[in-house]
Amino acid sequence: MDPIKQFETRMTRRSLLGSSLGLGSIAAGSLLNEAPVFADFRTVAPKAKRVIYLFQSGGPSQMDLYDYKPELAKRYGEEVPTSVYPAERKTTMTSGQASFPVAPTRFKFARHGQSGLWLSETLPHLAGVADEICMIKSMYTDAINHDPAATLFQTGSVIPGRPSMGAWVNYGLGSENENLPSFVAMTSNGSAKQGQPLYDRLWGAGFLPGRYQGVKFRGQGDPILDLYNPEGVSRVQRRRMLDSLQQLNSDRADQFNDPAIATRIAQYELAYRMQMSVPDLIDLSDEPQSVLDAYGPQATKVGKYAYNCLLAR
Amino acid sequence: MHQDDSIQKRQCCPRNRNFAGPASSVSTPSSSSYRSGRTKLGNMLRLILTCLSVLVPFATTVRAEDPDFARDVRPILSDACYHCHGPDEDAREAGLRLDDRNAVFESGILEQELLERLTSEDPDLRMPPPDSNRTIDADDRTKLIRWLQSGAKWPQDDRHWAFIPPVRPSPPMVSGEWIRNPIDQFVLARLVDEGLAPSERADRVTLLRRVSLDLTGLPPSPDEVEVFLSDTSPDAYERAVDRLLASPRYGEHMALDWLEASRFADTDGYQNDRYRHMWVWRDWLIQTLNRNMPFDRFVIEQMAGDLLPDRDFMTQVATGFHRNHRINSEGGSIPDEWIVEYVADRVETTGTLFLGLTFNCSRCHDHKYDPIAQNDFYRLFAFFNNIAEAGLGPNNGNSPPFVPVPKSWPDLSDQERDFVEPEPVKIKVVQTSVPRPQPGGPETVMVLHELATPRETFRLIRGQYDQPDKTKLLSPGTPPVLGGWNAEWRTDRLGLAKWLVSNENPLTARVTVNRYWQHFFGLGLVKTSENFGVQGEFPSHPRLLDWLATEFIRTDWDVKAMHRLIVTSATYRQSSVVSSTLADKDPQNRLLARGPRKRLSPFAIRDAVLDASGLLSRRIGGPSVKPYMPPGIWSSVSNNKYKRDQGESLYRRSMYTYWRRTLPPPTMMSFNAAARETCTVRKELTTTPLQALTMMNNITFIEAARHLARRVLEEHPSDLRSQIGAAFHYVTTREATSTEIELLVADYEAYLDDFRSHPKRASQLLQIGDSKFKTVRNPNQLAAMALIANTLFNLDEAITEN
Repeated sequence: MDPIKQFETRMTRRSLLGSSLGLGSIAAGSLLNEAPVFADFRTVAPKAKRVIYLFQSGGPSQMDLYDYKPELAKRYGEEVPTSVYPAERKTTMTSGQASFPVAPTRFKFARHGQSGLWLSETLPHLAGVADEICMIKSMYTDAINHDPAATLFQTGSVIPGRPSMGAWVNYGLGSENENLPSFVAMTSNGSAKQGQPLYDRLWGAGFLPGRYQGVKFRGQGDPILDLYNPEGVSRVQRRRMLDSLQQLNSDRADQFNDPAIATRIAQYELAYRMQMSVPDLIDLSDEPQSVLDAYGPQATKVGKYAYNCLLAR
Repeated sequence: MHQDDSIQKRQCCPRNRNFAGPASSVSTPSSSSYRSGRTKLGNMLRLILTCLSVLVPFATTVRAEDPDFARDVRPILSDACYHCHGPDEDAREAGLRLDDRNAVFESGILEQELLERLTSEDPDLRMPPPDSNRTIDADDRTKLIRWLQSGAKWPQDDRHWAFIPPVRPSPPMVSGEWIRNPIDQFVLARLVDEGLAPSERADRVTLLRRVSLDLTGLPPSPDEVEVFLSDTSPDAYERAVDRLLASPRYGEHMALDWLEASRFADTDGYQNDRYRHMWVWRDWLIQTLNRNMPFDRFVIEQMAGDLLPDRDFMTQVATGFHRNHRINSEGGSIPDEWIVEYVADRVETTGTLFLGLTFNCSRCHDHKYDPIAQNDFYRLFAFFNNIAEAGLGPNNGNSPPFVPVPKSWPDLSDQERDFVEPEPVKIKVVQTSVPRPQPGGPETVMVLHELATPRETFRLIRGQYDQPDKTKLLSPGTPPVLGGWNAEWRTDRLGLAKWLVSNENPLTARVTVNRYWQHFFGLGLVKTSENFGVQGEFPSHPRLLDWLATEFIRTDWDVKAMHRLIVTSATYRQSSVVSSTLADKDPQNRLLARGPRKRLSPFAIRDAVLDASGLLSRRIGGPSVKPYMPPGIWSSVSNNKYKRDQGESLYRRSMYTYWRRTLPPPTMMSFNAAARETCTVRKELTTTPLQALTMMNNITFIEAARHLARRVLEEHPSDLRSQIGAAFHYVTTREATSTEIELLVADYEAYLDDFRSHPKRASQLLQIGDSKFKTVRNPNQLAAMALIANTLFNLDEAITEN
């Protein structure tokens, strides 16, 4: 099927986001039922169709949320042993402290559901679905700074340069729609203006080919850089320009017989459709109120976490 | 950590063996090559081929039925077997290694067992086993079986081809008018072998555009085209090449590949990604390339300019090369851990850039494919483990060692050229007690400088800084498999640099000329220009590669001469039109039966647009500049604000654009610039809708469009067709056809009507960008012409070298 037509038929917000853009705070999706491109190295039929990955950079500590640590209460006030907190691991924030006492959580913990999942009182809603959750508590890092820790989370190494998880998913599952970003990253504008930086390399491809890296949907300005026509240029004019471009480029393609020109023509058409579709796609006005309510009061505020979650859905 | 072969090569970049497959022996070419040739060329070829049938004994080619060990067999063994039966002792299964001739012969496996293992249907016997995640496809399996059946010839000297120093081959005995220099003899011999003929010569304008973009990164001006076209002497092209090689733009353009390989940037690269000041090193690079410093000296100065007997301030600046790596300055980081990172980065950069080897694999374990032991990595590491540096950066500014740059830079007095002793690291406890070194301000540049007492180097278990294998102190040394070490050299960086550029080094010259080839043809003779190891690609033209490498050494590493040799070859001058035969047989142009056709670099794309508009600043060198950037591009993800420049700085060449490693310029990145985190010598080229959006809508491109519009309106005040024709020429370097002109005239008129009905839109469009027009007499015409310019900038041809 003509990829452009394919794209066109799929360009409703839900189908686009759900099946091909698959957007999340970090999301990778694929179209595994379409014409096979990666079929040759698929030996087991994958069941996962898409991955939505929410990375909460910052926020309350796990010991205040879901990691029950009764021992801390018993040893309240004792110095943290250097086996846990080596002397040389001091951050800019904490290196001035004279003492590093053990401090337990201030919140009450209780067990929930048939599984007896420990959760603190700060998570009452989660407590109601405790048996629906798989909680992995064995992950740890000895990085004590934000950037190395975030880099470890996304790439498996504290030293930047390795592919991000999304890039691996994209590489492994692939997308059979070659014309759309199959891995989209969105950063949320938090309430803390001076948040920790989330750099593009957190969804980068590392040593994998660049096409596997995430495409960033921005929370400020154009959702995709340079998405909109310059001021004063109408859509009719843009269409006319593209028709001429296509004509002029096709003439050269005939002359040089280089398939790269045809690819470029197709990408221009795609860009044109994205100009129309992406604004539609991020327009939530057709969402039922019940859905908006479920996502909370910030669901319609561009760049907010709730908004990004709704888009990812 | 640029290329992890075990992943990239095996699955997503399978080695292209199509053209390294068994070559047919030279026979009289079939008539098909005549038929595909055009008449004139056909006659010429007939002449060549007649000569060939007489002179042919260059056939050292292998007969189709005999797979060659180095070319055909080892790549398969490497891909499918070495992971478990290779150099890495810890990963070795059944005590069997297939990378060592003696071990293989001792095992006796070649007599019967290997054949059984390849042909058996029993999953317990058949190799590779299913759980290895390795496969041998049917063709390769057949090749191995044929090799075994033909006597399993495993040469006595079975070193990987790239580890044997190149021996200068004689160019094949082909002749004919087509041939202009020995490059063409190698290329033509191969084409004849394949039953193909070269393409005709590119037309003169196309060729001038191609060579101007390749040598200077800018298209030729209309004047330069006119001078060239009116020069009818036989060496007009050579003279144009010499003019371009002498242009100061040459050094700027050639510096770009080196900036990406040297991971040059304006920031440190980690957490807060603080600022550093290394533009003086970039200035040095541009000057040095323009002055055509011999490549061996170029390497020695950058690797060890601080250790030379004739060292001075300039050779010191050169060593900034190995300070361009990222530096961490975040509190809480452990200095010893980061010093290991910096030193490892130098080893890996040296490995990739000069030796074409992926040393990073052997940082944690013996290399899986190449005979590089983990100890070899740490013996190289020992060369670089003596720098008087700090593990944590100063958190803004240069990290020691650095030296002050005289205010008069780059016009230094003799006295200012003297070597300067950098002050030692002075750790101060600042802020809330994070220990940091003294920072160097914008008037300094980072350099290499040795510690009085070298650090001790041990093998690091799994590459971990805190797990040295203290049983053995390692001295500096080069990998034994590469040979070529001269016992008279000191075992320091200077010795290492001399070894890199010695005649006995098997790799540096090959790797370097291959990168030049990649620059001019888009793909190297070895496509994996970052990896000449066992997992790298076998060269498409092995003897041409060796001839070029030995020629480079013979000419005392004369870089401009090598570039001149390549661009004056008939091979380079061919038309890039792809015949349907070639489109099928050789889509990537590995056989070189046509000229290169390639997309411009991200830097050249922006520069060409600024150039056509007349906005481009011609100033060379100096600190980096901050042109337009999307709003909030820094502040949306970090605490820093991008304060963009004004005036001329918006229109400098793209190589001067401020490079923040964690947030590199998005326009450059969408056109596949290297991120400058680690050494990068080869980039994937993609074509994406984001590129189209940039070209159509980005402020730089729109501002340039309105300036190009005004330029042609002023130059041809009364004639619309001349205006459009001139704009077309500025962008594509060629005359538009009448069809093209008429199409654009119709567009112009439609746009003009639009703007007449909506004059506000015209003025909106004409406001985009900082540079304002003082007076605009016909805003509607100007806006309509700006859209024509916008169309032209978006042509495939505008960003392509044909």
